[in-house]
Amino acid sequence: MTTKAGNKTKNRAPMVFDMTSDECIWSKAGVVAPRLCHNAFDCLSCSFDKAIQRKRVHGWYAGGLEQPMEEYWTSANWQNTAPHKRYCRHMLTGRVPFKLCPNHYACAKCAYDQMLDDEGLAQPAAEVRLASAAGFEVPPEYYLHPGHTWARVEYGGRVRIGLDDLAARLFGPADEFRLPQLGMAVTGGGKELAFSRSGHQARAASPIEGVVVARNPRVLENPAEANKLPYGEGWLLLVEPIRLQRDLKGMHSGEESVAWMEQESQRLSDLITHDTGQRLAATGGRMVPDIYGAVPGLDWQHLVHEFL
Amino acid sequence: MTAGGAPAPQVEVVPLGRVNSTAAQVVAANLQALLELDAMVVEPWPEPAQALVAARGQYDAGIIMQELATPQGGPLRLGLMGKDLCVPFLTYVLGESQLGGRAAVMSLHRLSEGEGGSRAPRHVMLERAAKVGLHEIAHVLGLEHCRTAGCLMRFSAGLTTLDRLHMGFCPACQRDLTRLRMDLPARAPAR
Ligand SMILES: [Zn+2]
Ligand SMILES: [Zn+2]
Repeated sequence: MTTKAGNKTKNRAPMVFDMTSDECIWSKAGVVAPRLCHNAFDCLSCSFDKAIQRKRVHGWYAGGLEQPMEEYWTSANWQNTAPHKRYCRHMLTGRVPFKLCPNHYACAKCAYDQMLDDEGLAQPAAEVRLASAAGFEVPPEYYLHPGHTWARVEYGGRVRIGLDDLAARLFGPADEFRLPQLGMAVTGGGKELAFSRSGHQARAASPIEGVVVARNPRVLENPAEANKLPYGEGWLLLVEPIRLQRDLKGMHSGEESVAWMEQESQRLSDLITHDTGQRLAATGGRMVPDIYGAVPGLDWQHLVHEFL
Repeated sequence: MTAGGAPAPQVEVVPLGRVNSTAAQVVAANLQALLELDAMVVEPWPEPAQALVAARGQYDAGIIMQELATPQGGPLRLGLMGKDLCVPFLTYVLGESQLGGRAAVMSLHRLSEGEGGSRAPRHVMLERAAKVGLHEIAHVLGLEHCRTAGCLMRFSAGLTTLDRLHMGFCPACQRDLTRLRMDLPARAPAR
């Protein structure tokens, strides 16, 4: 594997939207040697978590087979964690700024844990942080696909996908979206996100391979919605990924996204100049919300071929 | 709750016995996408034999919900059955929920029925499952039925009416849902 140290997007651990930690919570708790979460905090489907839980459960229920749970927590691993480093799991996942575990990680019996679970229901939807890149917006916490779609890893390891700001503004408001049905497989790179505008067709690639588990009803009913808030309410699909690590590897995130989008902006600007014979000077500002509609003489098919 | 594991889900989707796993994922994903609740499919529970109404060959939704309900502070639970559900006063139910409570249960049993005894396409079954799941969990949050055309909170007597509903809530229900989610922590403990 060609992972470069310090290059965030090429790490094996996916960046999970709305979570601040990427270290396995068992590792942060000091129970095991340092390791990153490789499963988007979808602990339920994580074989490593299963192994740890099994150890706890066997100790607890089948007492005698292995160490009883109480002993496990008084074992060397646990003792080696200084009490001031026994961070609460809600701190490890970034939900609260600071909290120590008073309870040997017996979260099911913890009053504080229950209180936070209650509060969780009232949390407003997370806001999307946006950076600007030569007239376009870029969310550094998302993954951007070279075919101008985005992926955002969410709670439970599900991945939300949509069109990026360049695709949204370049092709403008669509008349129709034809998205794969619930339960259908998307192949990753397959051009499965179809939309049309005044008889012109376009197909964007799903950035992620997996199974479609939700479709955005707002966009299906009002296709122009995808154009307004492409990184928020204009999302297209929620996908249960199959090869998340592999898919994320070919995508941009963080600072790299901004640099890439600036290049793409330049490429678009060159192309428009060429296609229309109309000189464009980059004078800052933001791209108009409907480039195709605003610039006469653009060739739809050419844009699709170049950018999707 | 997976102690020490992922951040606890706000809603657990609990397969009861053998259940189509894609349907379970679709139900959970739609709770997350449209109600902004952290939802997770958990390990299946055994089929609730104690809820079987032998004379009817159906399962009593009320009994199942009592088993599913967690105390205040635990996750809300949505049971998912492959078998048919009923309550004593209805011939069958697609789903049933504790209004403003802790649990709901739904069945996939009838969701594959197509026109004139045929089988509906898989995506239609999954869409129906997502709708029933959203409807029931909205009830658990405290939302009552709504008469607005197309709103997901309309009572559907059967699949034809269910199919006509939008995958979403009318603006009034949407507003109520936002408020109900805010209210949750302050509510009195469940009895
Ligand atoms: Zn209802
Ligand atoms: Zn309504």
